[in-house]
Amino acid sequence: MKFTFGPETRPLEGITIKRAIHRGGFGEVYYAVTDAGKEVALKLLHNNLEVELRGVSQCLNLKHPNLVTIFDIRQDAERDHWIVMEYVGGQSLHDALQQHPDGMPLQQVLNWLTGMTAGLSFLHDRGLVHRDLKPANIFSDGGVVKVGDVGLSKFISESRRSAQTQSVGTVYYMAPEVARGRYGREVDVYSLGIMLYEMMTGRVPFEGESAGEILMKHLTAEPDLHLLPAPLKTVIAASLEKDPERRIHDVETLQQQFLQAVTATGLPLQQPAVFHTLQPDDMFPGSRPVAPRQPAAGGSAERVAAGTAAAGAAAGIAGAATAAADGPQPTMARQSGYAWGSLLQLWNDDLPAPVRWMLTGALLLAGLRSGLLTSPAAQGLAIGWLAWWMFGRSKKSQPLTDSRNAQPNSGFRYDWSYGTEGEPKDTPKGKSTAADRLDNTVMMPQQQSEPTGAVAAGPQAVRQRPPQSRTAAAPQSRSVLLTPETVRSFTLLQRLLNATTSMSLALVTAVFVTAAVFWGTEILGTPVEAIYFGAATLLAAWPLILVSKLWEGRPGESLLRRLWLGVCGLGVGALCGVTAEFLLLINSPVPSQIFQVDSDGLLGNREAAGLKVLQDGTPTIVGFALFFCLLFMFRRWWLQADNFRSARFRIGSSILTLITGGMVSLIVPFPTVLGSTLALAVSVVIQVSAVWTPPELRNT
Amino acid sequence: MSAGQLDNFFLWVDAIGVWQVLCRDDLLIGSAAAVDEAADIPLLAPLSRRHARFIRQDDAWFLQPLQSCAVGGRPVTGQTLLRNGSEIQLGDRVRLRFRIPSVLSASALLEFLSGHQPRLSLNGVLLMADTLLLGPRQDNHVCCPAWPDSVVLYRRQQQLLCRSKIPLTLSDAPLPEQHDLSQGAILSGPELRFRLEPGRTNSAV
Repeated sequence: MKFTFGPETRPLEGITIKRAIHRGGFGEVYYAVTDAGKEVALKLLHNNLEVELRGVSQCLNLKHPNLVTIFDIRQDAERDHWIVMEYVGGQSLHDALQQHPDGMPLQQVLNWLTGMTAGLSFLHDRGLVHRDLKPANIFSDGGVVKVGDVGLSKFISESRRSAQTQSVGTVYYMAPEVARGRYGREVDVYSLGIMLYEMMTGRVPFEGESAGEILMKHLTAEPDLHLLPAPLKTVIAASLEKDPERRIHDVETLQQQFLQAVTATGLPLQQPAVFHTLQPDDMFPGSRPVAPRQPAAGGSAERVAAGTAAAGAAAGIAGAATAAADGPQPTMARQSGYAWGSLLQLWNDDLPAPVRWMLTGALLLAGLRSGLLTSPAAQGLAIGWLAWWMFGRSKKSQPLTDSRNAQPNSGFRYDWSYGTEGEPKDTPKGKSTAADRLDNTVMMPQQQSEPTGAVAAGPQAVRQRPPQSRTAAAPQSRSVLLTPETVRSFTLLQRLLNATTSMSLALVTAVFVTAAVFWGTEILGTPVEAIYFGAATLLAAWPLILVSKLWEGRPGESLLRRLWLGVCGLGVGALCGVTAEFLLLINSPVPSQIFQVDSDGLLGNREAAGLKVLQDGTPTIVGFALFFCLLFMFRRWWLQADNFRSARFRIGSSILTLITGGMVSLIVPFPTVLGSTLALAVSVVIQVSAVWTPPELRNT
Repeated sequence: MSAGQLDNFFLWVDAIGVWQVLCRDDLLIGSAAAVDEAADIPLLAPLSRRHARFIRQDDAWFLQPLQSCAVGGRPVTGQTLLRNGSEIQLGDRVRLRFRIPSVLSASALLEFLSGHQPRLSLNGVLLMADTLLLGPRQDNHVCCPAWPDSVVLYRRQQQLLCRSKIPLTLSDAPLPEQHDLSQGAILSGPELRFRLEPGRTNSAV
């Protein structure tokens, strides 16, 4: 963007331009500072029209907090006119809409509407009509909405008589009667109606390739209101009446009716009013309740993640069926997104939990049995994926809102991959899908729309996630999402009870898991090995459950906790080593096959202070200790045992643990197959046994 | 060239905004005072004149509270490590977001969450380590979506230098290699323009 005036130029006496702000329909706008240090905005009017100036001077002394104040009109040496205005620092409604491509939370809509209404009714009360309302002209500075370009519009419109020369950005918001030269205050009502529609749905009602096409739609086409809840439909329809006589007459009435309609819908204000459906929602009578894509500003990250993920999963089947019917052709990626969505929905909602668990178990066993999950190739893939995941994650940033969540230049990605970017990052899929169910139950009992377009909407929806505070567990009644991050208070007795309950259950689970591994795969050859496997699983699971339950609900630093876990791991490893030796599985004339180490690992067979990690191809007690130490440190185990984890059992978490086990055995010389299987077993046992509170029963 | 000018400059980016860039490793934040202002980052806010310090040690930034401060909602009394995304609260009212936008640089960005600003509105304060990235990517310190490529500002031996694949011009001539910008400069490229303005504090503008 080229601007006429550079920094440090002084076209007007006493005012120094510091930078260009933008180039609007009226000319260039600069940020400038007076010699005394006052910030102003300077607008250069290129088309030096007498009428234009008359319009502005009419508004020169209007004072209203919701109107951008005009300080002065000045002429430079070239006889060009400059409007000296109040500098508004915040974002424009246009920017805000960019951040909410699928509609902004109703509360925000109301905030914008209230400010605009106040400013406009002040204008109307003085017999003035804005006539060029559009999102780029509305600003929010420190929470105060300000309507800009007051007094400029009329003459601009007159100076460009035909619609063909209008810039498209303006035509979207232009009332039909403007084409016939009528400029009552209903013109502003109409523009406001368009903006309300856009704020709620993320798009303008009349789109087109050219200004002429859009104008024709303003004149003839009916706005598509099926997206809106019924009471809001009526209001928006009344504000978008073609005939100014039949339109809502003033902005205050529009605001009142809108407010009543919002109340009538009973929708929570922290979320948008609509979901993008690819088909009218009345084609899905009794559609099941679903969560919003864009929950409350200021809600916790977890909650936002849950919302996006929820919509993604819910998008599933309906989306796949209707995608082709919708205008723009879906891309391949999008289609695969839909497929994922259907699969996820099938998995989450249509399968009863026991079936899901059995299927999960069978899948895991099949993976283990075929060696697929523990093969070097799988490990390599897993490492690559982890590297991408960690690196890719660290790169996401966003200047305006939260740094960690934006995804620059990303093509389409399916929601669930975003769903995890909230705090516990272990398990992309498992986490968000669980959050989906949770969202349905906890947050949105009365929501009735069908969000099929959410797939397309997902990525953007996340991009503008509101700034989050890590401590945000504000008492927002039922809409609060309780996560492992939530600080809770337990009595020592409760903690111990939780821990012992979980640990006793772990005993049973460990038996089942061991049995499944013993009979389901070829990993364990003899009953002794099976007994050892079970014992080692328990030896690892118990301390993990115990410390997790002690840490539960307390704020704590991840790193510190990992270190403590590492210390625990050393002890557990040593015990496991001793047990192996006791059962004559290692250091015996016939060492067990399961302990045959296939590679020396990164660490190699190194002797430190006379302690070997490897002897005769099997790990020593030191090797065991090191393996468990790293295994314990590389996962945030307490999240798997927390009673506020998003679902009791998340397969993704277990698979990640399995991969971690495999990776650790690449570092320490330890049998890869045994290492990863053990890690998996421990994860399964912990998740299944650790006390868990269903979301709907949670409280602090 | 004096070191003082390199310490502190304003970065005005056309169509984007303005940032104050501070280059030292130990920066004081406090209230803007009419006389005897001490803070490197003076805010118009109910704070002490010396409220807290931002300290960089190697690649990590710490907050050293001198008055009541909280990080991530928890009150802190001693030197506290700041992480990307940490929310800092100074006194009762002032909230800042601390960010390290790029993994390639230890430079940090402070954003104003509570609306308390220096005398001139800033988009943010950049705590510059060795490099600053300006460009279209979200992980640039100054994100300029319309720019064709990134511009790197970096410090070397008391000089402030600039590097980019974009052909940049300085007063209509191509920017010379290794040209020291610490005296201030207006750099232009296709569709972009930004200015480095040496400054001591906001009041110097």
